[in-house]
Amino acid sequence: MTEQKKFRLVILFAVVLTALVILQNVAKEYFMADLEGYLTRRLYYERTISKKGLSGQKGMHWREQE
Amino acid sequence: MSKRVLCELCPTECQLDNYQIGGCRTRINKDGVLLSLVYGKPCAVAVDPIEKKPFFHFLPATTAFSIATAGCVLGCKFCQNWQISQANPEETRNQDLPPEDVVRQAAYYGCRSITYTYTEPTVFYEYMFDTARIARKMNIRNTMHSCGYIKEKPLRLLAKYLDAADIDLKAFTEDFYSRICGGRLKPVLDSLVALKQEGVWLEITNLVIPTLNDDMKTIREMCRWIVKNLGPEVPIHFSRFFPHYRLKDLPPTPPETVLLARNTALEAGIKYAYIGNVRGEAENTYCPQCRKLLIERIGYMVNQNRLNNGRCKTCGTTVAGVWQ
Repeated sequence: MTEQKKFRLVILFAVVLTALVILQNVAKEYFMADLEGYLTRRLYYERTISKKGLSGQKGMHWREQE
Repeated sequence: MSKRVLCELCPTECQLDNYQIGGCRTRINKDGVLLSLVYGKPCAVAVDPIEKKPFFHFLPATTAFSIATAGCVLGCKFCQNWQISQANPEETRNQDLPPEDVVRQAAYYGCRSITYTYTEPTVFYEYMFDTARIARKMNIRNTMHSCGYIKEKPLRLLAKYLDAADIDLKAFTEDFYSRICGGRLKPVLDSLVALKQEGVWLEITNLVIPTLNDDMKTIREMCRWIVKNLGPEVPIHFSRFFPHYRLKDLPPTPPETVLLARNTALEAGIKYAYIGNVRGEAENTYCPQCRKLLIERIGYMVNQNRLNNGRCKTCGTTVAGVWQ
């Protein structure tokens, strides 16, 4: 492998790494936070609320009476 | 995952993500459908004298079947029922009491009315609404003690089945509502006007808290607003504050301050001003014309009632209220 080829490989690796880091940050900011929040809420509902026998009555059914 | 729902019940207008619970702790967005977690699940059920609500001009000396669920639309630092109002419904001990059973029990205990009270009835709006409809058919009156923090549409719809409302007008400044209650004053004033327009019997309660809302100038301003917008015949109750919840560092309201607030209200043109959490003559109802004693009370107990079909026996003046 020539020195030039090695250099290109390093550059390519750096570019790919940078792109991955940016992607991960974007995903964390916009998608993962949403997913994490959703999972936390869903788990709380399934593990705690749904087992307490609370009602699941449709809210705002008064709107149908307007 | 992103089926967002807007709750249109109270002025907070929570926008809920999937499986998110509203600020009131009682309403959840489940897959794009808003659900009430407290329908038919009261955490407080009792038979109370109607005077406890307090209603002084509504079926005196009768009992009210009183219910509440967990949760509240506000977060008042002085809340007297914070153990249930600031609790999640999954944390409280709830009963199974569907609307039909509430009405049945109210009738069984000989209650003339059902009161939605203790916490904030807006959070169990659907439960209250359905119960009120059934109660109306059974000739049982519906009353609520509320902070009035509810949007106009649901309030006006509920008002069709509501006979009386006692609204907590906690102060008369936006600053107080914002800092101490986590809400706004304007929607409460709008609710008062809407209830009046709908013909619901109205009484107002003002908890007088030392240093926070005991300024007589503001109380006078509040009373003038009441006289102008609701009329002078709306009774107002000035209640004595006791340290609770997050305001334990304040002393109880001196009884003189509550009496001063009452006098300020009378001077501002209010015909019926009372004191609460303090014993005294200011708990009684006097004829606005001849000043004769009409209803004598000691706490929640009515000692004597000298009204004759809602009129003063001495001078015949009509006393505003729902007496039968």
